[in-house]
Amino acid sequence: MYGGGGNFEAGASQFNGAGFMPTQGNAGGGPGSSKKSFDSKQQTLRAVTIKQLYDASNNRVDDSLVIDGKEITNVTLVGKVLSASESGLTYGLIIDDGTGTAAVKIWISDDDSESDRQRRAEWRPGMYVRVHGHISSFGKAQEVIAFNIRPVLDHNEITYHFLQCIFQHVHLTKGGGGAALGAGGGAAMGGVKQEQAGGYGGAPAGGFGGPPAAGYNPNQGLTPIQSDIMAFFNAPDAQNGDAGISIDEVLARSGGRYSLVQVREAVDALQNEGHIYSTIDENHFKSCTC
Amino acid sequence: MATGLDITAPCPRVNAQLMGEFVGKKVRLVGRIDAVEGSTMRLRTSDDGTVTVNLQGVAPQCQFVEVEGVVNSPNSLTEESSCSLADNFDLSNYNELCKLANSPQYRHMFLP
Repeated sequence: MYGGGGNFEAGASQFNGAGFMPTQGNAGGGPGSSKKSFDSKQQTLRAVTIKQLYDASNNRVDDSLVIDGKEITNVTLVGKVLSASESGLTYGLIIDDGTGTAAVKIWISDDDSESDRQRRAEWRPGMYVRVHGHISSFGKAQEVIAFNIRPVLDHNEITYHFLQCIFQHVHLTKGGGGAALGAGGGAAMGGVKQEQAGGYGGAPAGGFGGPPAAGYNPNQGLTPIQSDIMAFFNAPDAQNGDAGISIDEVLARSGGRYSLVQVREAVDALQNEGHIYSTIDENHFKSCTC
Repeated sequence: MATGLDITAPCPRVNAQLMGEFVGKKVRLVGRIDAVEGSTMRLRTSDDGTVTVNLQGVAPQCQFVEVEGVVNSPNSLTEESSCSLADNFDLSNYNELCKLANSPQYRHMFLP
């Protein structure tokens, strides 16, 4: 989960005061909503119907196509070939999946071989094909630029494809997605949701963490005392000094809510978890956030 | 000829039970070929109904077929084209898809 460049992109956005942290604030909404910012740099492959693509391209904002709140990059379609035509460098198909028709184009490579030609000959009208590609928005016409087309030989794949479209839709709107996260999906979705909450929610909030304490909620491994104390380390003045703030200072700022022992314990735990680090001596600590 | 994306002429996937909602409209019906007599074909649908298909051409030589055509009545259809699904096709899975694709929850993914 840590691997993608997208994660760091999201982490960096907090320096601009960009919308990473606010989404963390809506209690527990963190995992789904913060994911949105990763998606801009993430390549996904979505199974979609032509109807879904059509709706997305009609409601497009800027250049990105969004289905179920997630930007789409690559898509896969299954449909019946209505017509096929070759025009110089490209080979075009019109496919029909029962929800609509789509123009699909595939580039013919320079070293077009006999086997390539044979492959294309298999995509004849009346046949079902599986297409992998992305949406081109060149000019007005929305077409699918394919990087792979193959005939569907086992027709159970048709059933499979549309069920997969429904599954992905449900997963994104109910299972792993932002707003509906609290409401939860079916029992089957539960497992996936949990996994994402740990992976996405835990790591970015803990590791990169934003300034406001709101980003630290007990679910992400901090006790109420720890998150309270973390807020002192995240205060602007505590972050500005090279030395950070001392344990005595934390004690003073807590206004007598916690004992020295409690503060010590919390500070030790925060240090062990990598939220803060010691500076000039073992009594001064600074947040890792800045 | 259509360019780009077009959803003006959808062809919903139905089973025998759903046919009644689409009289006069174009649908896709999948079933097992029960019998062919002249230019009519009897199709056993995914929900175990029987639909009579008026064929335009010859019946495919296989067990399962997907017929595109216009619904005449809840149990008959006039073929416009058909596509062989060969001999290996799970009708019960397909039936679940028909139900989901026409359900109020997911209909918007398939139909305007």
